[in-house]
Amino acid sequence: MRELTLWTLPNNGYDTVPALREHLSDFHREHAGIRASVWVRTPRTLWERLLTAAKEGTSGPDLVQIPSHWTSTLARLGVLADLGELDPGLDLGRWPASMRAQCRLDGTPHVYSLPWWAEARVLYYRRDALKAAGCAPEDLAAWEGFTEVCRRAAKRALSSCGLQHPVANPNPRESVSLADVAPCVWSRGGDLFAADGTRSLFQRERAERGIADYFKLLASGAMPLKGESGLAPLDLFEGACALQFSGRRPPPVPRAGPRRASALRARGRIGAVPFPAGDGATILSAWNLGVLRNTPAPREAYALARWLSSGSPASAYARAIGAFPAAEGPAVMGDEDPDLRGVFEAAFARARMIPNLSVLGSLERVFDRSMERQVREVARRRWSPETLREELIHAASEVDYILSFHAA
Amino acid sequence: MKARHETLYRIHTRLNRVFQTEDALLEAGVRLIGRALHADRIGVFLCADGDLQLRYALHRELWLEMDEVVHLADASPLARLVEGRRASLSAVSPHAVLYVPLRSVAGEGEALGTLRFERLSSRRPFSAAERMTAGLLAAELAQNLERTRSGSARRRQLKRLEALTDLAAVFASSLRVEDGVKLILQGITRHFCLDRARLYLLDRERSALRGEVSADLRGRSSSLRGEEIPLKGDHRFARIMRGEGPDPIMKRYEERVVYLPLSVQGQNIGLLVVDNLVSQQTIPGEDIGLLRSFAGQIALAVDNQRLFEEVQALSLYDHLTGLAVRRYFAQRFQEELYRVERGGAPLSVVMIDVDHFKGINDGYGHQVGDLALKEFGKLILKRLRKIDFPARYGGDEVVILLPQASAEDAANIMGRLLADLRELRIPVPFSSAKELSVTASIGIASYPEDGRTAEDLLQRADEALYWVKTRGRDGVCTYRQALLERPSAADR
Repeated sequence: MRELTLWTLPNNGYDTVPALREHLSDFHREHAGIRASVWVRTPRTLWERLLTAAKEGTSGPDLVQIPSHWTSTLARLGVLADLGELDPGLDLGRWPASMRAQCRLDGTPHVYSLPWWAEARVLYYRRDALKAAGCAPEDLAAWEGFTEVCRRAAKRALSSCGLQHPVANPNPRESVSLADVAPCVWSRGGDLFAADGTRSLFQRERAERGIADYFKLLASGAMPLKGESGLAPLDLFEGACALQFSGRRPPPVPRAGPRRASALRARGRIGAVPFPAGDGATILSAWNLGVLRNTPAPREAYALARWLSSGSPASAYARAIGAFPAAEGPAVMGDEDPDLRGVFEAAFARARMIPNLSVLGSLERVFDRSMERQVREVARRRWSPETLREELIHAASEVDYILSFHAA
Repeated sequence: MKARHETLYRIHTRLNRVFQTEDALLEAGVRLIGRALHADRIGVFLCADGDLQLRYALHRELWLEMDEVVHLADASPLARLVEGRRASLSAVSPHAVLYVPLRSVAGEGEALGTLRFERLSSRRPFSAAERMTAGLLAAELAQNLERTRSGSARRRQLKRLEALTDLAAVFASSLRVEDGVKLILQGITRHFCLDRARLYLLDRERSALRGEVSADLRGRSSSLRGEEIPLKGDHRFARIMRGEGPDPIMKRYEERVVYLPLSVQGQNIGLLVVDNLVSQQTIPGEDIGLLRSFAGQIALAVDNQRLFEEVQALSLYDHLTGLAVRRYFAQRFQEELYRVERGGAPLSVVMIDVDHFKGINDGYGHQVGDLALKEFGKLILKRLRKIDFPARYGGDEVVILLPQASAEDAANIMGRLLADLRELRIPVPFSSAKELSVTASIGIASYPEDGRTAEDLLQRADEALYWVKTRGRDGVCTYRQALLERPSAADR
């Protein structure tokens, strides 16, 4: 029996391990000689542990789930195995071109990860809250309209609908990530990094305005950093907010049972529109699977990666966590919810990805640390666009310093 | 009360052993606490950067890594709990929640963190007895956490010190600076878990830092020979060498980039730069301290090795011309002969004599004569191929080994050198001419046609040189050519 260790990210919160264990039971049936165990890592601990294992030469997992834009960084550092060497006939043709690019070491044809599942952010709203605020879904087409709806919803609609806040914070860890602000930056016509990966752009005026847009939601209290009692904030699907950015589908309605009727009613109150960016451009986040270079069982680890990312298993797992299989995207929804499917199809069609630059994983850490400092300013009620500007200028210097050494 | 004491005693005995890591202790401790106190979920928050960071959670028997932050606003209930101004904090919305500080009974000042107990489907608050039990269990865990942390720090420190001692021994046994620093940089990178270490040495003549070598986390080393950083510029390394403090940008990454000036007897001789820029991991303060003290040893060893290399260079090279000395030439000549005997490639040897050098010395003084030789040496070093090997053979005699060059090739190379030499002007400040031009006579012999031993080849080259001199100097001649041109005894 070959024992494999799979490190995953918290794909569906506290239920990640049970959901994956159940999902893997099919794999275990098909591959009697392989047994996979699951460990959940946060993005921070995943990064720390992979890098420490690479430096110390200690053993890590056999297979790992990573944000797709880490592929180049981890391949370059020698953490991931070249999948082309494990499978000379490897064909990425069934995944969209944008995702294929995120499987490779930047600027080379070498494949180091396989796409698993994906999500593209849209904006969910509560129909009753919008109505009570005197607004319509069409008002959510652009960022200005969205903030106006937030303002009006705060005044009128919350108490009448039993809600607590206008917007749910998609980030439960009292922080702001690159993925949170990226669509705001793009909607302002800015960008995060130069296309050739040689310098930062997030300190420039348009990008800064986009990031400020997001922080104003936090600073104004429209989007709370934290929930009650220091717990992660509740979201729109838990009945706490009128609006929410999310790349996931709503929680499934039970097929039968006593909770079906109330769940159907709750589901009926929820609508969705594209990300309020004018042109609908949003962020597409994909999660890939990589085989560790120093695994003692590369063939078996690759077999598990292939299985997880292949048609039916990938669709089943994506459905279980409310996401989309990387290859099929919203097409897997079939006739289930035509309106929502249309919104997600538009989102996937227009979405952009964080570039898979050769040191993007490192740059993301620098950026996230800057965002943490700004969140601390918000928490202490000291945030202002000026503090953000200063922070971005310093962060850009640090990013450019790293790029000056390591840009491909 | 009795049950509480029994629980405490049981947990105390189970935790009273050495845990290798903080993670292992917390998992074991929280699992024990979870069995003693009914809760659906227990979160472990640790204090960091003035905030509380949720690092782990025990959720329905699953031990999970977490990553959430609670920013501690001034005088907030949680801040007061951490500061020790309240014993616990409980809430019932959205469900029953209890926070207790992670502080040992004897602990003073801020807590190490907090434990958070949650009952997900109940709003019934935690009772006073439960709060008391939770507080005592958290104190027990905190005490073990302090002990585990200090034990881990000691083991880590010891491991680093052992590694540094080994590295120092390896470094001391290597004779060449380049080999030594490569080993030391690779060792530092590996043992201190660094992304990269770079070494720059001071070039006093050029008033600049010159790159030497870099080692990365994959164990690869690369040359930094092309890098030169002027000490007077704005470069960050120059600031450090000038003893100036870090600029605001450097301060931002001072936990991930450490600059270690290398100094011997108060004189800076170089700079060691280590970083974690790619991994973005913090370099622990205690490692920085160790690296700083080790930098002194590196500096001393580098300085000693540089002195050794300088002394060695002085004994192998002529100080005036910069060319190899005759002894070194003889050694290299022999090596080249072994090589051509095996490989069959041609080899030529050239003997050069500066024309009328005695006249220069007598007419203009030895200083001008020395200057002429110095300039001639420079010209030779500049014009020859990288594989050629020139040496000062006697007073004004120079010999050159030209590997992979036939007699004809050698004659062409020497023809060009002679043309350049004719263009050379030696300043003579106190003469009416103000400058002096120099010519030379050059004889060439080649392996194997003119000889197979060093003595034979040098003899033939000298004979060819002599033929040039008899023909009027300022020329090049191969031994074969001299044989053809020279009148035989019968003709005379």
